[in-house]
Amino acid sequence: MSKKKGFWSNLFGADDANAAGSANMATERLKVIVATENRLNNRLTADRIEKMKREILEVVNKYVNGVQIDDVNINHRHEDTLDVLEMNISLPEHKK
Amino acid sequence: MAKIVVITSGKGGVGKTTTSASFAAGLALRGYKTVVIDFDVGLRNLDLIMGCENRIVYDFVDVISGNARLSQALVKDKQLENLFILPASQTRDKDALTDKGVAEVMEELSKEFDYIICDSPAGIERGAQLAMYHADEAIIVTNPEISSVRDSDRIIGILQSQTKKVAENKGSVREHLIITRYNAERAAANEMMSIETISNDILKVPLLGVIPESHSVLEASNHGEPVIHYTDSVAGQCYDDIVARFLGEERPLRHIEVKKKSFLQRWFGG
Repeated sequence: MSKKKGFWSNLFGADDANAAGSANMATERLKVIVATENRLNNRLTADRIEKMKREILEVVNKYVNGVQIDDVNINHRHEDTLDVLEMNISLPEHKK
Repeated sequence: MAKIVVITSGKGGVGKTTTSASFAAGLALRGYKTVVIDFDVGLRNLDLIMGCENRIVYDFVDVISGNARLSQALVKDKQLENLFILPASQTRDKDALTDKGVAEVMEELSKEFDYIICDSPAGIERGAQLAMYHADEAIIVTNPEISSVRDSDRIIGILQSQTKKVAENKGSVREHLIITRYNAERAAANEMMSIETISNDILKVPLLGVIPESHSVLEASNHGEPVIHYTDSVAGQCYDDIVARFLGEERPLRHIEVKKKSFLQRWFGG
């Protein structure tokens, strides 16, 4: 809410406590929504999925040994109103 | 062959019909033979903004269902020689517009007109999808307000995946952004998202123009005249710039600078 400025701040153009404005908050909130909501199909091109696979593989291999790039399967599909990103990682067989 | 342009937004009430009317009138003013189609089945409004509501006999659905020929349904604009309106039907049957029917109308209009402007209904349902399906270019209308920007982002996603161009592997629909109801003072005070933020950071769609909040828009709609005819109004001039830019002219943005308050105004809190 913007308050009516007092005589003094009006005169000297000093901004009150609301100096930050709410536009930045709107921008930040929107960026999160837009990043997660749609346009997945545009942002997730084949080479970006490949890159994501490699990064995920790197993380997985910190905790589990022997997972290969081919063991990571990422699938992007559409259901009625949903965009689904599926990921399957096959772990190597336990050595007895 | 006509160029087909859809005016779309996702959210309702942001200025699609206002934009459609002025954009189409602007093209016609420049000598292009233009038709503007109201795709809003059940909620006809473009005719009111164009001021031809009392001259409608047949509508879009009549043409598709074979009750009327296209030439019978087209309403000639009251001011411009080469501008025509194809009004929406008032029927509540949302399936009255068939894919095949719309495609045939588009094809027939394409032979005769330079530009076909499709005024999309709000939402992301069938009506909006039909309006955008045949488009070569899309004008996305957005207010500097979060729900409107978010809906525009949704619409852009659909534009990039569910159009004839994409289906037939003929590239993609060229996108343009128009920001309406912009308030420079509020943007300067950081109470409103800026033009750059909306266009470059969030939607990532090239800016075609900005229409500042303006009394003339309501005034023009009260009279049933596209606001572009109000040549001394801010909104009218900005729409004229938009049409010029769309046709490839370089025009700087105007009317979006903050008016400096005079000393007296500041003194007395104007």
